[in-house]
Amino acid sequence: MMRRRRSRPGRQIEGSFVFRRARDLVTVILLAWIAFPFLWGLISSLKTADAIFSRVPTLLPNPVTLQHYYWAFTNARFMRGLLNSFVVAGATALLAMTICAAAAYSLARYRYRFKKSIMTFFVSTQMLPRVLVAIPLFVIFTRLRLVDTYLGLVLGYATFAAPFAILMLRGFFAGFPVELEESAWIDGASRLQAFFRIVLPLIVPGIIATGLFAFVLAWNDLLFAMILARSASVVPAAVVLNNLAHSQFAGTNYGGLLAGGVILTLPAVIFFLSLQHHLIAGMTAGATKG
Amino acid sequence: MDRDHNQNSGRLRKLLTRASRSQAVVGIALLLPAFTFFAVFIIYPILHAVWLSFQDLYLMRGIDSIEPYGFGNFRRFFADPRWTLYVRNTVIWTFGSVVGEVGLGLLLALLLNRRIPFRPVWRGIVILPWLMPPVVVAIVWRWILDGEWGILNYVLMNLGIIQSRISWLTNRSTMWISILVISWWKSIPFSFVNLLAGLQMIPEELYEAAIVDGASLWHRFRMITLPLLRPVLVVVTLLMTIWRSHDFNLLWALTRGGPGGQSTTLAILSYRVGFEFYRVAYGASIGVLLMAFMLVFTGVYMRRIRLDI
Repeated sequence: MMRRRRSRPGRQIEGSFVFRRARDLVTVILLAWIAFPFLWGLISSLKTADAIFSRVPTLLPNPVTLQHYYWAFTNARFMRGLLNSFVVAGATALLAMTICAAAAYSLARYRYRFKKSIMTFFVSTQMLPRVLVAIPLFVIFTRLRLVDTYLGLVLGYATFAAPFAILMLRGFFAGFPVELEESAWIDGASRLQAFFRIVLPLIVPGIIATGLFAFVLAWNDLLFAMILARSASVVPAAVVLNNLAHSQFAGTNYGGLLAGGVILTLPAVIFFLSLQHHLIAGMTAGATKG
Repeated sequence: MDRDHNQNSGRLRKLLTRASRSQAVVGIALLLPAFTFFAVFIIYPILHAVWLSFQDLYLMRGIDSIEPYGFGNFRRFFADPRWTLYVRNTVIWTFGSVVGEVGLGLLLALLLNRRIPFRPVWRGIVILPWLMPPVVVAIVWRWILDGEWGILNYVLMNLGIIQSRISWLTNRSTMWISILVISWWKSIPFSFVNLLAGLQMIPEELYEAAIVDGASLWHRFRMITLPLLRPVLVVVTLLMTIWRSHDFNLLWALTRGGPGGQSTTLAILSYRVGFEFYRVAYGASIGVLLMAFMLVFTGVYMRRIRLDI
């Protein structure tokens, strides 16, 4: 924090001294505001219940305790929820990838009529109110006996994971140098052979990133899970935690809720640490590169 | 794509011709799985929802108790004395969120687009809120804002800014600003990342030329940054407005539409009437109203802004 206050010499220096200091101050305040809830949530989850409910909050947990994590990991419903979340979000990612990889490649490489309209169609499905997809799916799935099953939830999640996946994958395919493919054709490979032997292996990081993106989208959802899942064997962890957070005595168990929250945040954090660059590619897929 | 290489061998040319002849067929074939999925699981359900909004379906009488209801659901909505509250809440939530998200995202993008030490670290911090699931965002912020034990009350009281503890999320006068600040916090990564990408596409030379011409910082922002960033700004704003208008997860995790319906938006209402009061078709009709509002808004916005991208 100290070092960034030192301004660098060069042409970047401009504006009055007061302006520059004010600008630094605004930067620091905004960054602190963004980082603080992370730190405070993590710190509080490591405090004893006495320290959490103390009139004078302490900055650091002393002593550090894992009792809240123990609570979360021994809470049968929450653990079952985590299992459900992993299965359903993982299956959603796989389904979205399977459906979308071919379409994204087609949109990035092939030429045919109405391509722009087809693209617009895929993009615009992102703009539909999710509740307006979830309600009729509930009616349809009730008849098909898909409510309260993994499959029903996966199909529901795929309705918002797939549009994202198409856009993101198309970006990766379009960024792949066409010359590499062409040289494969020269060597006598068919277009599909070139796709499977040349493009696919090289594009794997992008595909994994897109899959993780879809995974996180499904992992975070409440709406579809609340409508399409009911029993403990299907309901995902986000809903379990939200129900715990709104239960009658939730106010006495902030430590446990925060520990559960830290656990629920971990997959996305691991994703971020391993594939930061691709994550940003996903976030910009819709607006900047549309 | 089919670039002309001068050194093309006859074999390559033949291959390319064959490829371009069949490429439309293969291209369309590759679209089919996705297209089928979208048609069956998105387009058909939406049409079903529109149809459903003109039916009556009370879940307590079973899923097969659907009967024609005309405009009954819509009449029921506008007969509810609180319908203006729900619309007002939707407007506050949508536009309040978007203004802050885009404004703060732009500010941060500008601040972190300069040459400063450890820049990747600061940019990484701004992305952090994206990583936190909405449910967890709600838990952490409710803990910070807690009326009894929250750190915010503690700090503000020690600084002498407030005299007594405030239950930020249940107090009517502080509820919306608290919700909006949390919404800004959660959504800044999206606007930040996109606007930063937009800023980086502006050629450095333009600024250098402007500095030579003696343009002030403000002038450079008004005359270079803003016009060139406009396409990205327009799209980001539109996307966020549409997403925020029917966003459910964060608001539900924060307040469940309460206290007493004071933070109930149309998206929340649609779920509540559908699955807390089992009027599923009525819920669908509220979703249809929301979609209709947003279609009108998008149309007006596109015309006003003359989207030329």
